[in-house]
Amino acid sequence: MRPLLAAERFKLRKNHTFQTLILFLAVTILLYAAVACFSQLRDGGFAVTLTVMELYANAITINQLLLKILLGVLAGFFIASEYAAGVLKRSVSAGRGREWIYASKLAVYTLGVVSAALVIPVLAILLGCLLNGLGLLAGFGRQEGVTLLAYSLRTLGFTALFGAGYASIAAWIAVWLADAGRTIGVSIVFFLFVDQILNSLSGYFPLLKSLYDYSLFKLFADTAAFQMSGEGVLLCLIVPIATIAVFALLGVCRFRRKEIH
Amino acid sequence: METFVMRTRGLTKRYGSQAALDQVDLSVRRGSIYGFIGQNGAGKTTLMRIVGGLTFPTSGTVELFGETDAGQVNEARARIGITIERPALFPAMTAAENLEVHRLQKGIADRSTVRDALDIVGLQDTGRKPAGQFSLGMKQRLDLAIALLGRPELLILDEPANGLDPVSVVELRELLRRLNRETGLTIVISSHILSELHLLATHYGIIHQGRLLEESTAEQLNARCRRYLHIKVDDPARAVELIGRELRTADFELLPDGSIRLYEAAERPGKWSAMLAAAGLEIEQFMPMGESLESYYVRRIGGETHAPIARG
Repeated sequence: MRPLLAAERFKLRKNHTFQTLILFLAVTILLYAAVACFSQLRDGGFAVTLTVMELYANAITINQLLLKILLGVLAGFFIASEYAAGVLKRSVSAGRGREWIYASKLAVYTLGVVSAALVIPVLAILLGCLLNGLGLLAGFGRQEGVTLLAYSLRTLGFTALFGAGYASIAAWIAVWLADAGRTIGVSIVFFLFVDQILNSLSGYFPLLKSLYDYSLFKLFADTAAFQMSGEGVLLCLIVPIATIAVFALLGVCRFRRKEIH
Repeated sequence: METFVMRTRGLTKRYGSQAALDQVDLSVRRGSIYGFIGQNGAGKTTLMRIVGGLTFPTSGTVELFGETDAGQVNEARARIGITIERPALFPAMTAAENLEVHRLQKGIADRSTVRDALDIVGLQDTGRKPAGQFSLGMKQRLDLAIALLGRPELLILDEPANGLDPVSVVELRELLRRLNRETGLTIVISSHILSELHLLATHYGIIHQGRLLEESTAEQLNARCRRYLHIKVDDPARAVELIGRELRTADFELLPDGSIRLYEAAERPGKWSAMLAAAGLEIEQFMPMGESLESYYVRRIGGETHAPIARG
């Protein structure tokens, strides 16, 4: 497994799409911070600057949307494109077990997704601190303060965990479709609209509502809340881990049977 | 040490009712250069893909280095270098980076193997140029370099001369010969350039419509490639009549261009040229020739290189 992981890490490092995505995300948060900074609200002639917490909370929301797009793009160019280029033939014919090939690919793809998913939140904290200094949550109509440290650690952890959960689904889609273009298209449409579709349908089917309430898609949005119950935190730990386990297994099963062209 | 590095027994692959491979029993001896001959769609690539573990047989077995258990056969694939169909490269990476991926994947500790592999195929000066911008010939050579990483014991090459210019074809042939001679590397090579294959292979397998028609050594095949007299005269019809009467043979062909291929008399050309001249025929061409591998192959699969207007 170690040689396979080393090879996948090398490929990720050299992947132009991954490099471009990281750059795009960094530029996005820089632009957002710049716009937020230069278009401050004014109260009696005094500028009301965005606190670090406000900038970070907004960044988390933007990041959740962008993550759903970058998942498909990276899955297309990191996993599915290997079918088209034919390089997967070599991996498979080199005498390694297919389950290990898939596991190493999923692991490094997940690493790429998680790294990309953390760019915006981490840079938001750094930029906020540079602009305003550290501060407590304020201006959201809540009495109890949540420290930036607690909130950021929790949301960063959940961003990574949910990113990994989403990555396991995207990798499974990539193995099914085995084509970069189709993987990107299907993944983007799926991840962008699955929420609305499941939400709408759950109104008609009670079982689907329960499923949706305990799904990765619904819970990811909940992780951005300032306050979370112990039960909510536990659920947000269990669901992504279960999703990773199920979809990693499905991916392995699919990849073991797949004919490589 | 096992005599055969690769064997298939009853190997069959079906796509619906279509048999891409039908009960193929193939044996590749250690140290040989096995020329795998067949038309497009004959089943060569399907067989190579099954041996490489890329596709699964409907029935039958593959034996690699004496191993027949599926798990052990897969492990034995680490001892194989394989190139199938088009070159399998990362287009955005340089030649060295492409090799580095496979060096890491194979767990080869020695980094100098990358430089060595580039030197072997003559791509050491490609620098930062991405492989996607290489010519097809350069891509083929890089593909071969990747297959040679880790010093495989068996090299499987599917149409490796595709896209190569004539000089590169000769270089490839010399390289494969050298590797075979110096390292004992066993090579299975499919090619549609049969004359090129004829200069390289020590063993042959002819596959047609999924069936292995024959396996033979180069010596056996050379013996089977029949010699004949190529005759062109001013009156082919009369010459055919004369041959039939004087030789009492049916073993000749009258080709559409009026020339005659006389198989039976190939060993006594002087006698028959004198006979034709004595009959008053004007001989335009008269030469003993050997049947090429192409001709033999076409004859073996039941096809025709020419459409004879008459057959003896």
